[in-house]
Amino acid sequence: MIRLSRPRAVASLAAAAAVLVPVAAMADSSTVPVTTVVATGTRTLNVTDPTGAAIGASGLPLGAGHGGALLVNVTDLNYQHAGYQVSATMTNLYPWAGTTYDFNGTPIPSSAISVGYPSNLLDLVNVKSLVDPVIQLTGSVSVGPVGLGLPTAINQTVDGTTSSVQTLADQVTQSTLASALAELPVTLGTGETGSFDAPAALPGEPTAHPNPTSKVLMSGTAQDPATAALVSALQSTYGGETAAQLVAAGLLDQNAVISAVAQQLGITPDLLSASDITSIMSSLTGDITSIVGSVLGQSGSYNTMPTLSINVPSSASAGVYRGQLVVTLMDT
Amino acid sequence: MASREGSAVGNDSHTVPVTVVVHSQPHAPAVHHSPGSSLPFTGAPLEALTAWGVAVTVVGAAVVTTLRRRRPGSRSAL
Repeated sequence: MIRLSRPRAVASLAAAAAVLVPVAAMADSSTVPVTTVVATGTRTLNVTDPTGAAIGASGLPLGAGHGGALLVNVTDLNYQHAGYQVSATMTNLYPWAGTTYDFNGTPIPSSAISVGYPSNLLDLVNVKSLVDPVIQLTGSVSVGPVGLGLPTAINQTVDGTTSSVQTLADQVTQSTLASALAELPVTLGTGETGSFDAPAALPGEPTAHPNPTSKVLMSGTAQDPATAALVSALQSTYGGETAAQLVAAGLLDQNAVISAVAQQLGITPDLLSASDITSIMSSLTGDITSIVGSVLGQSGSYNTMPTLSINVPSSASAGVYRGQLVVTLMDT
Repeated sequence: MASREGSAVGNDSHTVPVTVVVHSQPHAPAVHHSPGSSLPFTGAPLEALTAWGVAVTVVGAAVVTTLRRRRPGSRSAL
């Protein structure tokens, strides 16, 4: 019985396999990688002396004969659309023995140090908004063998690729800030003045200072700049250029153009020959009509110049005193 | 507070050393005294001092005048 049944089983398996083969082919799949770009730029904080040079190891000198000014800079490079705040805390100033603090000595309290902005310097440089433009493509194209294709008028709107747009002059100063405010992706606010009433802690300081006074030195709030200015700036730069030129400029993706045209022609894009595509790209011109949604991010450099002043207590002994100003950048 | 994306790191921070050189104190601290302050007030208005001075001077002059007038009288009585 067993010997007789084996050929039957083999035959059954073969039949099953024959049935399964076409089923497996119908279940075929293809993996398509999908990518998108989110604003992944950088935001950095720089604290230097007023000339932009690094503050030396000897520190920022305060007191008679010294300005006590420092330059605080925040630089965005295609950074996500977010506000910022730069704040500072101050420690007590302890007698400085050349390499270490003398925590047994009587410090000059942080409350003797004040921050102000006597120069009123506040500016933004090269501010740009990161947007997705909407482009209207128009023109007449003829596809198919030469002489056979009839001209077809094209009028299609496509989303452009993310672009950086500058609508303002290279530099916006405090005097021009108010008039430029509507076009800024991130505003610029002045800082707080006054003394550091409660100190921050120095490394190794035996006394804890859990609630130091924090002074905002500069801040900015994310906002949507006026769309009309962005569209106008893009249009003045790219308006009227061919689709091929817009692709070369990085404002358009060629596949988006071909897909839009094929849709209006009523054919799938794969039916267009290479010469058809070349003809389409050179025949259509683009105009920037709007932007998609909100501002995605921004580039720019924001600066302020706070100044530290000190009122040395009359009880302070002669000598060198040292402390730390800690400047912190946060997204808001 | 929002977090950063991409290559940016979290909240950035810079530490700036600050130095002060105290050479010496140029003078003793100025202290202002006034009536009612915590320090004793020993002064008197200049006008009052002047008035007392005049009064003492006038009294003194009157005593001298009286003594001088009595001396001739005493002699005649003797």
